[in-house]
Amino acid sequence: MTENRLEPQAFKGSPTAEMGPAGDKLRGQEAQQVDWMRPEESMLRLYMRRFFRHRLAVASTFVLLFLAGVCFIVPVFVPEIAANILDFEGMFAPPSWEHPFGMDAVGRDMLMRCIYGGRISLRIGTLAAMIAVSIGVTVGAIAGYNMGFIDNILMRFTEALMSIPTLFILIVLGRVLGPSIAITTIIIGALAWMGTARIVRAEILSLKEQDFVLAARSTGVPPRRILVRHLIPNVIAPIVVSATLRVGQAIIMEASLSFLGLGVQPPTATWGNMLTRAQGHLRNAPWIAVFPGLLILITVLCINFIGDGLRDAMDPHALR
Amino acid sequence: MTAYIVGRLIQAVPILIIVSLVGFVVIQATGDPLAAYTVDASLTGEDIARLRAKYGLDKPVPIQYLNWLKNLLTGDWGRSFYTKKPVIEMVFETLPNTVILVAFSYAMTLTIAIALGILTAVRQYSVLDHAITAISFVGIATPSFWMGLLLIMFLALRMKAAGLPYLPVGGMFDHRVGKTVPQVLWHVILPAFTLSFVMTARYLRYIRSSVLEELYEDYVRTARSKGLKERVVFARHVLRNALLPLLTLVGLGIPSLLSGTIVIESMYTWPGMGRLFWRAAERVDIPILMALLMFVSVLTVLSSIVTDVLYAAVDPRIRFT
Repeated sequence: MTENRLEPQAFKGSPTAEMGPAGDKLRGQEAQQVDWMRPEESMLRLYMRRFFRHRLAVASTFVLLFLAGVCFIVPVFVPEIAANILDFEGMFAPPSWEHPFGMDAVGRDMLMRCIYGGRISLRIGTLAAMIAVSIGVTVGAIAGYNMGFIDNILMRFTEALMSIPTLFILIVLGRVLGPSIAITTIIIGALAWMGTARIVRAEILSLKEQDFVLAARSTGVPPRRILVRHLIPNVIAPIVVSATLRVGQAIIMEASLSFLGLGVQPPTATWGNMLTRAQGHLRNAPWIAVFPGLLILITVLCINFIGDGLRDAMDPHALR
Repeated sequence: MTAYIVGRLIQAVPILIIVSLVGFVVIQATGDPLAAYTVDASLTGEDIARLRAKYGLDKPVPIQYLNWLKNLLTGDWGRSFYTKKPVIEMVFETLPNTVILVAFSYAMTLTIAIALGILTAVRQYSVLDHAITAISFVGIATPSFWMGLLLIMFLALRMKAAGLPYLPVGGMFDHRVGKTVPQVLWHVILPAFTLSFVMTARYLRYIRSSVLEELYEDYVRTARSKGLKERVVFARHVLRNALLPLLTLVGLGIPSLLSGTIVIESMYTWPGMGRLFWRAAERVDIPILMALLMFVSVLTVLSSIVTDVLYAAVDPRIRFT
């Protein structure tokens, strides 16, 4: 191999160095020798290789891509009106070749509604998770880096929000702000960040005692830059994992909210609000309840498996 | 120990103040609580103004907050804007029903999760383990209200259609029979099971991994090597340590469980706090909303303190600092 192999490992951008303290301590001499014998591999390649070993996660990725593909591509070719045509002849029609998912209480095609609903549900889930993770990372990083007063205030606030059942605020806020896709997304995002904030804070707390932070600080790097360029990139792994799981959580939250009749309102379909009136039709038209719920279940299941796969792939303690 | 508990209680105060502030600001934004009166044509603008003054709604929000706080601490939780009954009475009317529901779902969760969690850990990688693990993954990803719909469909409607004994899907008791213990027990099954389903799946996974972790510890090998029977090793040593973290799980699970009761109680028309909250939210009944919010937050904070104290009481390795 080339001569840069002779340089100290910690500066080489090897997985061990990149992953910070946990990797360094736990892997030790033996693990480093393994690294020496292998050609250089970028972090991304390493993560990908490990992820593809996780069969369930890979399968889930394909299922999820298929679902999302259908939900986002079909609407390009079929106008939204297809999800809203009322066919009173076909009220409560059971699943058939023509209408694979059956018809609902006013004779709308359940398949088209599931597709259009899925588009909204997936979008709300993803965007809400992004909002939640942004707030969580910001709060967690600031709290972790600034000990003392700021940390205290932020963490007390986080704990306070955690001690209120989320649905309580969601319901009250949902009534105040009125039902719309944007508002539902923002509220869900604004109430799901606490877990991420705590994870990030804990990681930063231990990272900032590391020598590379001391080095940065002694060369006069301003605190904000240390945080953004040196600390946060080292916490990417837990952030990505928690972001993934947050998407599933947000989808379920949206569904519960819409099920209660808040959140996005009909005729716009979401997987949650399609279930609102399903309880009354369980006897004569169970398919109204079954399909949207099944789609939520499959989506969240896939997301959870992918999260597991990512967690294993990005685990700094893993040896290969 | 007393010093520790007192310290924790003092720490809880700022948290509760933040909760009440957040709640108060959010609920203030829900709109005019007297909106219902303005519809009434027999009331003039002056009447409304008088009502506003009577409820203290004419004062600036910070003053309103301080008044509310003072009243809350002196035990005056106000009256519902709609039923005109004292809030404290309405909360404590519904509280026992929610306690019944929650207690039953916790009982179901813990029984099933502990039994299956231990079983899957002991038979790791067996067919049984794989099957139960798969079911619990599905369980974790299921929205609880959808599980409720399926349960109603299969355990109530289908059973009834087939002429088999079926579970009731609404209320606490059959009005023809009255509120008797067997009636309530019969009616609590479905809502409690719905509420516990997702929780069971999560706890089961947790117990499985925690038992597996303990199973290979040195002290277990020591216990075995000194000739203890496998059953004793398991019951006295492994389980004791493996089930300890459950305390935390149960203690910290209370807020999400109460979120769950809002949905489940509305679905099954169970007359508990969740349904009270849901109806109060529909009518912007501020005194009830605030009372329930504070009640639940205090409960959450207390349960986390109790969890920590209990934890230290059961586990001699943990000392108060």
